[in-house]
Amino acid sequence: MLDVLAFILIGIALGTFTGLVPGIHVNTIVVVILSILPFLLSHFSVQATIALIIAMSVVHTFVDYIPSILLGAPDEDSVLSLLPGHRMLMEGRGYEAIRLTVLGGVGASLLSSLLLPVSLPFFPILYSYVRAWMAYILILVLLYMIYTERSRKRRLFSILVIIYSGLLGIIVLNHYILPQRYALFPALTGLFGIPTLLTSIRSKPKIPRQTFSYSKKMYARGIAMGSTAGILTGLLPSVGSAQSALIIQNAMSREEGNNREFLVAIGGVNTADAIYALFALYLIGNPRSGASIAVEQIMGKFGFNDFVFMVGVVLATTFFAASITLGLARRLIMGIESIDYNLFTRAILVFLILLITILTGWKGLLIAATSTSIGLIAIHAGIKRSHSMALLMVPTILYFLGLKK
Amino acid sequence: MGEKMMMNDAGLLKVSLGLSTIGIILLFYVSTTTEPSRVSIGEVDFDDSGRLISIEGRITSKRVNKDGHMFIKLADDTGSISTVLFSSAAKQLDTVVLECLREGADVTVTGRVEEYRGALEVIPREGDGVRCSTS
Repeated sequence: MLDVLAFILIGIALGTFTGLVPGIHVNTIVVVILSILPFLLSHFSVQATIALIIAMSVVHTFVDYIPSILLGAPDEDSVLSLLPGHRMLMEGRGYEAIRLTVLGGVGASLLSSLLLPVSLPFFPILYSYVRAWMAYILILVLLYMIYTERSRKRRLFSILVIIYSGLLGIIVLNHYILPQRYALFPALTGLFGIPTLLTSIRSKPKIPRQTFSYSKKMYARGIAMGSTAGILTGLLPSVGSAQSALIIQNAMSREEGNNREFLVAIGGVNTADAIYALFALYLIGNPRSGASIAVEQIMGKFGFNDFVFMVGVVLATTFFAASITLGLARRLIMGIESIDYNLFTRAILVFLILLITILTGWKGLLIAATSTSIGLIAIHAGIKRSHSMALLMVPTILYFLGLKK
Repeated sequence: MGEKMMMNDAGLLKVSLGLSTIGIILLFYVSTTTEPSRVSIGEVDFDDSGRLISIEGRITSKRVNKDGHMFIKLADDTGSISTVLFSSAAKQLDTVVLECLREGADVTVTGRVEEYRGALEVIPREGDGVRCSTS
């Protein structure tokens, strides 16, 4: 039992690291764990090892909104938080933005666990229906996104950005340019992070005084939407939380309050996705994430008692994840307030370019340069930035239509 | 000032359009002109997922399931790896190649590294994905 608790703490530390550092994902650490698995299992229990992986996965989904919202450096799971979150940071409400994602994550963790008695009999059936229609749902979302642009010229630019982002996604994900675990980092940073930073530098904003007060509203609808979307995402292959978040974004109207509810929802999607990708081992007998594949490899046969253990670790870790995220956010925001934000933005830009160079080399820089150009088209044409999510949606659509090679 | 800003935005839009078009063309060229890397089986790891490689090894096991898909285990001195020949691809192989796909035979497989349920496998490319090695 003591080794399980110790490994949960190690998992929490690792999840904090992977969440904070752009470009490093849970799967990177999972591969390292699998490479030293014989050593781990000869000294520690199986439960301790899987507790580490589960704790790391859950904590990562909370912490990774911090670099997205505060630094403009998202990963594929947190990318849609960047724009509403950054907007709130510029309004002096950066802490509230991160708190909203934490609220979504905690709500999703509890709701996902409460929904288990329903999930056990119904989700396998629901899964097969949603899977059959997923391509068409995503196509409809793309068409709706184009339709909601306000002029013919903007709709044309939307189509262009969707085509270019989709082509980029096909090249990056369906062909080999870089190892898959690194391929998305330069693409997403270029589509969303770098253009935001460049625009920021150009407009020379001063980061306003940040407030740590927040509304006590629970945003129950956001929690429910995020959790449900995340659960389905966790069960479906090739659908990431970003695609689900995009569906939610388009289902919500563009009122001020809905930006907050949207942040709650995507906080929920990410956490529910990670949790149900693990639960999928028991619910549908298939792993759905790098972490769940590792758990399957370690456990072998997966029974009901193992499933209950997994639920326990998820719930225990959630409290730590929320506390760590809020504590780190508070400290980082206090640090950001006291510096020259324009200089800080330039430093972040240089850091991201250096990180892309170190992790992915000249090919990653080429991807980042191309994706930055596409991201800038969206900004200068005055269209929704989320059209660039075609980077992930188009390859997903092709997969579900059976056209992905 | 406002008009100058608008001109700058229009100019930046054109530059972004041009650069993104060139970038996509270059990326497509880079991704499709890479020759397969010749590696030993033991060198294949998760970083190679999606990469086109060429490996040479001995067939240590072969199994055909009810759908006609062929599951072959290839080994060399450095390790072993699975190769999956789907029935549609197997039908396109010529008789000479099909005949040499038996346990103990030496073959060269050129294909993409894929990850399936936590394990690596090589999916031969169509056409020349599987060749009998000359002894």
